[in-house]
Amino acid sequence: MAMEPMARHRATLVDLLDRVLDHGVIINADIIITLAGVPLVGINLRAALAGMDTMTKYGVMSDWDERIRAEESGSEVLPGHQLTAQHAVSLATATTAR
Amino acid sequence: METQVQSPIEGRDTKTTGCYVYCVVPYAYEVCPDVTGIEGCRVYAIVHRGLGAIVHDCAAQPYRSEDAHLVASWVMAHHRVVEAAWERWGTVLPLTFNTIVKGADERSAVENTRMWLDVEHEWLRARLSSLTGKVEYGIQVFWDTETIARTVAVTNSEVRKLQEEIESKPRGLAYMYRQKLENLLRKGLEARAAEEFKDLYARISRCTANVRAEKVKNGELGRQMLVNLSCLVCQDRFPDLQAELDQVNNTEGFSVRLVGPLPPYSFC
Amino acid sequence: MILDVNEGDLKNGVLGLVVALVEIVKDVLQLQAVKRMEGGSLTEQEVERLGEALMDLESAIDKIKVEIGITESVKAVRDGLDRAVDDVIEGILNPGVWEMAGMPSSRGG
Repeated sequence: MAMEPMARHRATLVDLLDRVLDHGVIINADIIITLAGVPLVGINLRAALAGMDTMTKYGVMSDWDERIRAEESGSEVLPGHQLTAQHAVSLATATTAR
Repeated sequence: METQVQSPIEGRDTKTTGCYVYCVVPYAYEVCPDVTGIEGCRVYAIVHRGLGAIVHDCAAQPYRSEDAHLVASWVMAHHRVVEAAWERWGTVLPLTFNTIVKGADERSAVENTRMWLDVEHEWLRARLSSLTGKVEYGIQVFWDTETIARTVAVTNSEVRKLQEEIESKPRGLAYMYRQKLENLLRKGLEARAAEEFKDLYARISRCTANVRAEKVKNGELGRQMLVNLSCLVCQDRFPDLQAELDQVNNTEGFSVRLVGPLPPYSFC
Repeated sequence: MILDVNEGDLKNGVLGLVVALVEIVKDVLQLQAVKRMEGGSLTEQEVERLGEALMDLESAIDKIKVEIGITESVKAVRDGLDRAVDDVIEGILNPGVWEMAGMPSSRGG
């Protein structure tokens, strides 16, 4: 068998999932909005994400870029960012709690 | 104490905005890289006493969705920003996904972020300094199940004996003995896997600053993942690590997948 | 072996499920048989009979899978069950994971 130098692969979505979602510094402070230790991604979603075809950085972003450019410019809040009444209430209780 | 904020949004209600914090960098005089963040948000830096928090403005609620494609785009966007900061500043302290600073009655999210940089200044400096010159790599070692099973079959005397006995047995007995053989092989493989793991872990630890074992992923056809590690490597020791991995990769039945270099997500 | 195959059942993959379960039961029987054989509580004749019975069962299952064309379907069911078991174990080791299972989404795609 010929001696082949080790190739260094670019990170795929699967490589990044655990690192971005679970690793990294976790700040526990009342200035941070958290889901109280509950992880963002449930089992089913994680399985779905892990099962997706390898996404290159640019493959994913090009779809998304098109979507964003098609939206109205100048709007302050993108769809999906609206605070629901429920969240406003839980934020209020979170701010006053110690 | 110089504080700079290049926020594109003025005069927003403090209660409804948050700062999504991607990472912290040692900020001297550099300009924040021109990179877009999650959902196309404009990324900028909140700087305080030589430390920069790389952020984007968002609503004061976490990013959550059941849509896998959407979540995937968020993960990739998050990584892209961290990577851009890492390239610009050389050292970066990544924060976990969905770290959002909120505003309170008296203070905006931006001010709270600045305050956090102030309060945690020493700790942040120390972490950044310990990560300087180091990068993360993902190392996965696989083995070809069939090749290794054959080696186990050949070297294990109990297995060899059984194989010989089976030849002379009647149909039903032979079948049962074959089941026993499979069990033996499986146990042999497990023992070998444990040995290899210990050995590989030791060899990799010797040329890295830190090693972290990750969960082994299954489901590869014909090959089994033995080792899944995240490693923090000093850049000048990378050639040593590469040499070790080359050796493993060129051993019969083994293959190595090396991912990186990456920002030090796993070693914060 | 002649089987009365209902097209509806096939579509639902019920047959895949049924055969997968039969396979699993066969595997368990196999394990138990080998254990008893190794434990020394069976005569050679008994081991021979057990072996033959299991062999016949195995080849019957294989034949059905090929005849109806559900080999992939059965594999899919078994892989799914394996994943479900892994999830349960993961849930026991990390209880927080289960809380996310039924959460509604707050950001639309």
